[in-house]
Formats: sequence, C-alpha cells, structure tokens
Amino acid sequence: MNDFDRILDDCLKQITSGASSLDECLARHPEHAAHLKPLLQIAARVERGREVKPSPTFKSQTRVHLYAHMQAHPRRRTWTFTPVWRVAVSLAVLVMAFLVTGTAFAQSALPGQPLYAWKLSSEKVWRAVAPDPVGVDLSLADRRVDEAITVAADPARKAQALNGYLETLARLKSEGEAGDKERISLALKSHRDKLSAAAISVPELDHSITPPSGSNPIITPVVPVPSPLPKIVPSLVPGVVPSLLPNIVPTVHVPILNP
Amino acid sequence: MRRNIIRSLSFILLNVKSAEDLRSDSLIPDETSLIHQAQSGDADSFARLYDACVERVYRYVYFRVADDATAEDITSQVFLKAWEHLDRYRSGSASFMAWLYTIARNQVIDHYRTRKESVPLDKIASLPATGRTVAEQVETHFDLQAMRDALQFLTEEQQQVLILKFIVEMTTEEIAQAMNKNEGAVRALQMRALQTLSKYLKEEKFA
Repeated sequence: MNDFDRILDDCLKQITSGASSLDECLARHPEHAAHLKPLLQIAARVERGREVKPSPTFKSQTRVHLYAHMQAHPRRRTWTFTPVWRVAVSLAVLVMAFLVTGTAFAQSALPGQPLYAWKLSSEKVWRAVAPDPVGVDLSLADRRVDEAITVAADPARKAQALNGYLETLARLKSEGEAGDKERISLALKSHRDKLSAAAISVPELDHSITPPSGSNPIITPVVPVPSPLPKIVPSLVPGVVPSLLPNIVPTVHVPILNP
Repeated sequence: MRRNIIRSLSFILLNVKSAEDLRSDSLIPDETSLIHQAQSGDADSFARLYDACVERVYRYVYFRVADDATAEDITSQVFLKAWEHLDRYRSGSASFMAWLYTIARNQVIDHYRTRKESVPLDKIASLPATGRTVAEQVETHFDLQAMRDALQFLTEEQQQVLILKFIVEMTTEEIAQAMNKNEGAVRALQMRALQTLSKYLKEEKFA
C-alpha cells in the first residue's frame, strides 16, 4: 500500500507540473492503472477549486479594515532573532561557557602547569572587583603557600609559588590598614607555621612578623608638636608689651607705678 | 542495468526537492524580510503579505465552510489574528503560508464550535431537492458548491490534505509541515481521501 501512496503522489506531482499526462502516468504503472485512474480523475476535478477567488470588493475592503486595525493596534517592536544574531548569541554563550569552565578548571592548577597563568589572571580580576582586597590577598597568600608546599620537590616551581607569595606579602604590607594588622599578622603566623612544617624558609616572612634579633632598633624621629598657643599674644592693655616666649604661657610685664 | 541506474538517478533528481528548493518555491517574493519588517511593526510590509496570501487563505476557508459570507469573515479574522500573534511565527520552522493555514484551521474549528453548525449532513440531505445528485453536479457542471459539499464527507484531516494539495497548491512536504505529520502519513491521507471521494461520487452516480 505504501508503494501505491508514493506512485499516486508522484503521478499527481507530474500531472500538476505538466511533466506528464494522466495517460502517460497510467502507462508507466500498468499494474496500478485500474486503481490509479479514478483517483487521478477525482484529483483533477478537485483541482478546479483553484478557480475560486475572493471578490475584489472583499479583498480591498478587508485590506482597508486590516490597515485600520494595524494602525489602532500597533505592534511593539519586538526583538527578533535574525540568523546573524542567533549565531552571535550562540558564539557569545560558547565563549562564556568556555571562560567559566576554563576558569573553574584553572583554580586547581599548580605552578608550571599550562592553566597556572589563567589562574593568576583570574585572581587579578577577582582582586580588582572584590570589595575587600586585603581579604582576597590573604586568600591568595594562602593559595601560594599551599602551592609552594605541594610543589616543594621542584625548586623552580616552588620558587614560582614563593615569588607569588612575596608579591602578595608586599601588597599586604603596603596596603593593609591599621584595622587589618591583626588578621594579617595571624595569617602570616599561620603561613610561617605551615611553611616551617614543610621545611620551607621564607626570611621575608619572618621579618614581617618579628624584627630580626641583633639589629639596631629603628629610632623614629620625634616630630615637634606645634604649640596650641600663639607666639604673640595681642594685648588690649595700653602700655603692656607681650613677651615672645614660645611654648609657655605668655606673661606680661606691667610697670609698677609708684603713687 | 547501467541504463536502469541512470534512469533511476534522473528520476530521483527530477523528483527530490531539497529544503532550499522548497524555500525558493515560496510564492511571496522577499518573504523573509517582509516578515521581519512586519514583526518590527511595519504595517505596509504586513499589507504586502496580505496581498500575496489572501486568495489562497480564502480558497482554503471557502472549502471548509458552507457559505461565502462566512468564508470572507473567517479570512479577514485570520489576518487580524496573524497580525496580533506575528511574533509567534518563526521563519525557520515552517513557511508563512503554512502558519496562516494553521490559524485558518483553528478559526474554522472555532466557527463550527461556537455556531454549532452541522453542515455536512444537512447540506447533502438538501441536495436531492434540486433534482440532481452530487455526482451529476460534479461530473457535468463541476459546481464548486457541490464539490464543497462533497468534501464534507471526508474526515477533517482528509479535507485538510485535499484542500491544501489541490486547491491551495501546497506540496506534500509543506502539508506535512503544516499538519505536523510526516510525508508518508500525508500521502496515505491523500490516497484515502481520493478513494472515499471516488467511491462516494460513484455511488451517487448509480444511486
């Protein structure tokens, strides 16, 4: 039966397009001719329905009505996805997915691995957008310590991790505010303990926590405190001359008049 | 053997149409850009789409309802609905005409549901009063109204296939898209519809 469906459809297609006549189709399929003939004849009759056309009056009136409706109910400009936009959005989504996945994978990279540079870049972005850069620096310092311990067997990779640690340490020293000192100090002590346990020495870290023994203490120059009192006190008493005595309560010389 | 292979290949090449060919078959010139402009709110572009499609939509509706006035009413409703829901049309999924036929079909169904008309039997029952059978009318005069009535004997899907294929001039592929069926199912519906119509007309002739 499926073959007959197809043969009928092919014959209809060929007759409609003018490629062959009804008789030619029947001649091509003599085994089905008896069944095909009445169906093709009926199809030809149904095709005459194409003569139906709406009246010109209806067409023009409906057009006017439709136009008025369109003016009364304007379409809001909707965002339509043209093929170009579809490709652009798909690409953008792919790039985003690649960046997110790559960044997630890179977080476990160690010094010397291909994704390590990606990890450092992502950390720069993290630090740039974080509301608490000191907190981020402490986390990054933690990471560098862990990395240094993990790759301790490889001097070059360990040096790379420690260099990163020292950079972070320098930032903490220069940018940490008074309120951050306590948590920075605690973190550095923790780092020192972890590194010591792994037999890694970082002299700069020791210097940052306690001053080295045997060195001369740093003498901070005393800045002179400006006197809150003016050097010249104007006198409202005639004949009274104010003295110029800095940093002490001004006195006046009052001439004693003998009666 | 070689000649048979060449003949088979040429037959396939002549009859198989690619999706691109189907797109180029569109009777609406510059259809895609007109639709995009209309979707952006351009009434002129939609009016041009109306000009290109109105006759075929009317023909479809004409053979699905009992009278011309209803056909006109439903046809205009189809275009108003199309304007309202134009953003739902996706150019990649089906042709614009196929989308319009989906709206037209729903409008016809709504029409019968709301008016509770049972056109087929009533209309056919009244035919003998004219003194002629449907077969005579079809064979001698091919009265369009008679064909309209004869089509009512088919199932809704069979009517749909015959009207879309022979009156609206859609290809089997386009009909399959519009009816959300595969081409094999459409061919089977087409064959059964023609057989039913042929049998009915033969019975009427010898009744």
